[in-house]
Amino acid sequence: MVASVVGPHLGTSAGHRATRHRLAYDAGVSIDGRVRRAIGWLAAAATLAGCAARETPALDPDSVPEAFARSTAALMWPGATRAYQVTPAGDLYNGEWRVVVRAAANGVEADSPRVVAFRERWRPGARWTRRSGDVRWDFDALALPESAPRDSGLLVSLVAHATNTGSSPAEATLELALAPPEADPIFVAFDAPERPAPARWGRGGSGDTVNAWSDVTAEGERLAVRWPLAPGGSRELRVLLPAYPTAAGVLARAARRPHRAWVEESDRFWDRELATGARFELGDPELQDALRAARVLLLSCRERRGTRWVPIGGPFQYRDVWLRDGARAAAALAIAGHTTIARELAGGLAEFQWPNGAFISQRGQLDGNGQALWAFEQTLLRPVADDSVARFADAASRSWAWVEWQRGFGRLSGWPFGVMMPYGDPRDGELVRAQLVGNDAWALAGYRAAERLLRAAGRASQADSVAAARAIYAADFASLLGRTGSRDVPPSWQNVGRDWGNLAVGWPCAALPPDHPRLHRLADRVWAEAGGAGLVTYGHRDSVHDYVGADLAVWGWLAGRRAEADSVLAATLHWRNGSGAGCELFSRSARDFGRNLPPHPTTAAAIIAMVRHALIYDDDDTLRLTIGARDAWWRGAALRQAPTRWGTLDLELRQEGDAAHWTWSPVPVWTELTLPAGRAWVAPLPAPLLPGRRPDRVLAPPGTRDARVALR
Amino acid sequence: MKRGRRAPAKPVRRPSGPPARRSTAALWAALTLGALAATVAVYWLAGRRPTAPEPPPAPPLLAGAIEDLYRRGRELLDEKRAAEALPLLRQAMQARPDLWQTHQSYAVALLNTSYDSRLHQGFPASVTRSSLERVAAAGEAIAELETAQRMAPTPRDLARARRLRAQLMGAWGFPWDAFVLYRQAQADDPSWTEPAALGDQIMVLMRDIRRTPPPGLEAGGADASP
Repeated sequence: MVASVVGPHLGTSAGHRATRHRLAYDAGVSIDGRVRRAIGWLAAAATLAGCAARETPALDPDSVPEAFARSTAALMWPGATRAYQVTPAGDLYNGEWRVVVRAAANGVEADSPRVVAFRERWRPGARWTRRSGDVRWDFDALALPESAPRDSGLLVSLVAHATNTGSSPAEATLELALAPPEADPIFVAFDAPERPAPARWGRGGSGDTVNAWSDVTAEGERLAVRWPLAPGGSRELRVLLPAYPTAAGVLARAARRPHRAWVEESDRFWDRELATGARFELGDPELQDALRAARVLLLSCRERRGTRWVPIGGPFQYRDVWLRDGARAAAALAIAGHTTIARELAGGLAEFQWPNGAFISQRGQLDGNGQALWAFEQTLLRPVADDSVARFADAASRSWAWVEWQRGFGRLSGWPFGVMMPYGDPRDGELVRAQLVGNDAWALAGYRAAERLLRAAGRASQADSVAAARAIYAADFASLLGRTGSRDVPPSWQNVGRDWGNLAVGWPCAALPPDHPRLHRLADRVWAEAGGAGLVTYGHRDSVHDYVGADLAVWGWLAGRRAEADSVLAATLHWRNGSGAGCELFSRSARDFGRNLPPHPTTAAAIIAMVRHALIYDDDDTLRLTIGARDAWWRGAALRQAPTRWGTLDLELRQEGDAAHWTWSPVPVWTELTLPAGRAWVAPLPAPLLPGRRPDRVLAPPGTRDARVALR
Repeated sequence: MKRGRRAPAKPVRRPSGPPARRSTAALWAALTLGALAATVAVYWLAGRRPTAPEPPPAPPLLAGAIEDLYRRGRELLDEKRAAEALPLLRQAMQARPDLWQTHQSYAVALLNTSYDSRLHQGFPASVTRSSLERVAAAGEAIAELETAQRMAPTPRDLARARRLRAQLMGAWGFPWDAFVLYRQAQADDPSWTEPAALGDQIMVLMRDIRRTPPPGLEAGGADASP
């Protein structure tokens, strides 16, 4: 709202005003002048805003870990149809216009931000610092939704704060220029006009539609201030940036609330939102913040379509809906305890059902069929079946019938892989036209989901039919792998293409049992190609994929490959930026994501899935606890209010000396307890515990709520 | 396009689409019969080649402003400007729902709009907002084509609507669905050999996925005829 004056240079001479062409010389504004101007809007707000950046919780952005060579962040809001990118250069861009930030001191241009960070690496307000000589520029920006009735826009409050850290006076200049997208933009807002009118600044409370607002006088698209800064002195400017051109009066009203109040409102909102979900108390602040960042991202990457909500593939270049990503987002939110929102997203995904019963969002991406059903099951059956389950069971039944219809044709064809899903050309993922193994794996996941949904809907007979069909399909699947010429699980039945859907065969699709040798060989191969367990490569050795190999972590825990599985989690956590987000693809050598901007929601979903399943795994007929619990968690950790297929569950775990101790909400199924890594139980096991299928696992009968196991 | 007014075509009831799959028994019976018929047809038609499509039938005759809308919509379709044609043809269809041609033309506009891309400020982008709108458009197109099928006055018109549905399904990556619809179109009008040939081509591709699909088989843009 204001270019406020703080520090020892208050009231400095206005002498520069006349000499600086086209710069609004704000530094020389006297106290009287400042107060007069503030009265125009709100005097108290001016004072508050003057302290805005400094009074909000402190953060040195450059102290926040940043995995990538260039740092960027997204300013977004749930339901908003545009977002602002804070670019690696320190500009802002919303898909229609840029806010080019030129900061300088004594003629020296400020460098690019090293890290664009969120507070605590998850609270969605971006901070970044730039330097020009002795002048440090601190920027603070965050988004809030527009006032009702507008529900698809957002407003960004941006504060630029200059501090002279040197021992001699400096002259700081700041220019915020509104500009069209670059010549070769990474993204353009879908609803940006083909020929946008020149963007312009607004001031005051008029009804003029403007692209940015400040109470500093600006000339058209350009706002500039010049500040003489005494040693130790500082100045700041606050502006508002709407996602869409907005009446200046609306922005003026929004600006009456100081930036700090915006920060507090944002914090309150997100604290409240996250409190509705499960509570991860792991004794690992970095990991807990990573989970918060992941949840904030997933909650933010949603758009409305009428009364429905849909998950979008990202705030920038992937602002579209993919079943393959949306299903992951919905499922992750479900297991993180955001049940209502997850179910809303499932309702949005249901819109992708075709008249023939199939679910497809993109041409040639037949995996969407199983993914949609999987998302329904994941979201609707935890912690108890939703009232709407009958509708989804019906949809799943139609989808199942469509797949069986095709398998019937394929069976009659006599072709080698005729009973598998037909060829597809996804133009993504496997990047090949072929019969993709992942399509069948996901179809099998869809069958399992359909069976569960039908049972939950009270249609046991039909559920039995689906289960029987699944058994035949799974047998075909396992058998035909032997005819692919591959030793593991290839991307396609024709053994061509890139690894993609085949990486989901073990988990979540459960198309093969976890111990199947082909799954071990698949993991060995893709991890070897990447130089070791962790993230997998895509296309070539230097191109690392942030989420496609994450399913191997959960599979690895189920298959007893704990160290490798944990390395996947560790690598995914490492490759995040200052706002706590991962991307999709990046060059390992250059640490650069190129034009594939973070954040990517599916990476966020992967983090949630890995951590949650490491503690509580409930995807089959047994509750499995601590399959991937890290050593640090055994010092005492808990996951509370976790929705599971057997109700809401609290879990506590702790290792005390040579004993592991679990307490959990009793469930009506057997519970498998996995011991801390490298440990085995000491006989005799206390009743009612029984030996598990591996030396590091024990079984507890239904209804057990507490177990203590001696370790060796 | 003729401007004269003529009575709307009388709707003709035709068997619609694949059999409804309402019960498991019915499903399997339909599957088995369909599969057998399809398999026989594959071999019977093996080796046949597509011939040039028949010229489109005369466009429908509408009245006054609606006729103008319809004609302009068709022109825009021919000019590959489906998104612009869409509102005009929707209006024409709503004004004359008794004409099968308005349903079919509107379906083509929906279909082609869902595939269309644009250079948006120099950035390649879809004409439609997202996949949700594209899938909704495809679903609506299918419904319109089914309506056109029910109203089609001649076997060729019926086959043409079914062939469009087949093309839609093929373009979206449903080869089995497309194959069956091509065969049904063939059955609707055995004198029209194009659907049979297209069905054959899908069979060839499904048998050997290393083959390059013939031009047009998986293309999105539908012929604007009729």
